[in-house]
Amino acid sequence: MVSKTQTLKDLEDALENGASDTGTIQKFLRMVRELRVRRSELVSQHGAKLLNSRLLGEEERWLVHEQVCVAALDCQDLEVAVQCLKKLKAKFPTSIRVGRLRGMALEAQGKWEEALVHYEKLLAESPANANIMKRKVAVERARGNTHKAIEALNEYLDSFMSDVDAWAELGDLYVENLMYKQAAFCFEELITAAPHNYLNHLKYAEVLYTMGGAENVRNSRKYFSAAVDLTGGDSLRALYGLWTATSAIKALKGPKDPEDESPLGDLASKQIVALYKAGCPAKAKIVEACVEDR
Amino acid sequence: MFLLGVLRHFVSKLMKGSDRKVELKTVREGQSIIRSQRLRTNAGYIPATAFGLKKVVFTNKETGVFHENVESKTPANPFQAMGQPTDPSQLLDMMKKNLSMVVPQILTFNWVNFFFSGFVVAKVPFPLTMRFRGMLQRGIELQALDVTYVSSLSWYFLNLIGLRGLFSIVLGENTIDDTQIMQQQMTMGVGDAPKAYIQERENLELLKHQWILPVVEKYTEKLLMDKLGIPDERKR
Repeated sequence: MVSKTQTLKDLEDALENGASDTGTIQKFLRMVRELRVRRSELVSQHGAKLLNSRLLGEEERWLVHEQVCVAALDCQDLEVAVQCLKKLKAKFPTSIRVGRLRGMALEAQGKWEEALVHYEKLLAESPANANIMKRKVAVERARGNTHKAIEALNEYLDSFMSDVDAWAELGDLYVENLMYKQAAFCFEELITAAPHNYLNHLKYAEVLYTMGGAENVRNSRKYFSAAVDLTGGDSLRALYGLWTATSAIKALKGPKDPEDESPLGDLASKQIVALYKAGCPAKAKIVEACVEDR
Repeated sequence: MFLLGVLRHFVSKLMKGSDRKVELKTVREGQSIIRSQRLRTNAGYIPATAFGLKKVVFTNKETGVFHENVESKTPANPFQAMGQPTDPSQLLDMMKKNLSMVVPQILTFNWVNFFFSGFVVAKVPFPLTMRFRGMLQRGIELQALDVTYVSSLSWYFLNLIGLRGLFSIVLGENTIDDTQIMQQQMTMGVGDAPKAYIQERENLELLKHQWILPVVEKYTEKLLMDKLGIPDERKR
C-alpha cells in the first residue's frame, strides 16, 4: 500500500519530468486537494489544461476551477485566475466562496483597500465566515501593517478561540513586534493544545529567555529541556537554547535557587559537540571551542 | 432499482437547501468550551502564573467568558433532552434527507412485495446450509425448495445494500466540499450554553494546578547522559 504522500510525490516527479496528459494532472490535483498542500506552481502550470477537459465531472470541474484560480493568484498569473473567476462567478453568482476568490484577486493586484471593503461586504452577509476573517488578517500582513493584522487576528480569535494555527500566527506577529509577553500567552495556548509538539515548547522557551528576568530565564531552561526531551536530544536549536539558558542562570544576580546548579548545560554542550562530530566534523572543533568556553 | 438510486441522489441534492447562517455568538460559545477543556487537560504543561492568567480569561467575575450572559436557545425543547441539534433548520434538513431516503425505499419495497412475492429470481452457484433460508428465501414459505434459489424479495434487499459501490462509480466520488465540513465543525455550538458555561467554569475553578515541567528536566538529564554514555554517579 503506497502512502498518499508518496503518491503525491510520484505524480509531482512525473509532471516535472514532462508528463502532461490530463489523467496525470487530474490525479495530481486530486491529491493536492485531499492532502491540503500548496503546490501552486505545478497546479497553475498544468491545471489550466484541465479546465475544459471532458474527464471532469460537474462537481469536480468547479473544484478544479477554484484550485487553479488560487494557485494562479499565488503565481501572479492573473490572466488564468481572472478567467477561472469569471466562469465561477457565472456559475455561482451569490457564493461567498467565489467572493473570497474575488477578494484574493484584488489582493494579488495590490488593491488592498478595495479587497478590505469587499471582505467587509461579505462578512456583513455571513458574519461567522472564518475564511473571510482570516483573509482580512492576510491583507494587513501582506502590506506590512502588523499592528492592524494583530487587531484583526484578535478579533477573529475572540470567536474562533480554539483555532491553533491562528494562535501560532498571532504569536509570531507579536514576536515580530517585540511584544513578548503577549507572544508568551499565545505560545502557552499552543502548548495546552498540543503538549507533545516540541516546537511549541521551543518557541515558548525562546520567548521566555528573550524577555529575561530571573523567573523567566529559570522557566525557559525547563522548556528548553522539554524540547530536548521531546526531540530525543537531536535538535540543535533546542540544545543550544538549553546551553545558553543554563549559562544565563549561572550569571543571574540575586538570591540563588537550589535548582540553579544543574548538569544540564554541561550535558547540552557535550551533546552539541557530539552531534557536530557525527554530522559535520569539519566544524566540530570551532563549535567545541565556542561551547566549552564558558 | 438502480435508476431509483440515481433519482434519489439528485432529489436529495435539490432538497439540501442553502447553507445555514451561523451566528458568531454560537461559534464563540462552542469554541470557548473547547479551549477551556484543552486548558484543563494540559494545565500541567504551563507555569502556575500563566495558568492563573488563562483562568482569569474564563472565570473573572466581570470580564470572564463564562460569566457572560448567554441565552439558552430553545428552552423546553424535547429534542434537547435527546442531545439532538437544537437549530430547527438543521432538524428540517435532517428530516428532508431522511424522507428522501425512506419514501422511495418504502415504495419499491411494497412494489416488489406486491407484484413479485413468491417469485424465484436467481440461483446462487454454490451450495448453502439451511440457515441461509431466512436470508435468501424471504417471502417463500417452502421447506422443500433448495436454499440456493433466491426469492425476489431477498434479491431486492441484496441490491439495496450492494449497489452502493456502483453508485459511487456512476455518480462520481463523494465530492462534498471538505472545507465546508470543517467550517461546520468549527461553528458547532453547544446545546445549552448557560449550563455548559457554568459547568465548565466550576471545573476550571476546582482544578488544582500542578506544574510538571520541573520533572521533565530530570528526564532530559537522564536522556542526555544515556546518549553521551556518561554513567549516572548518583546511582552508585
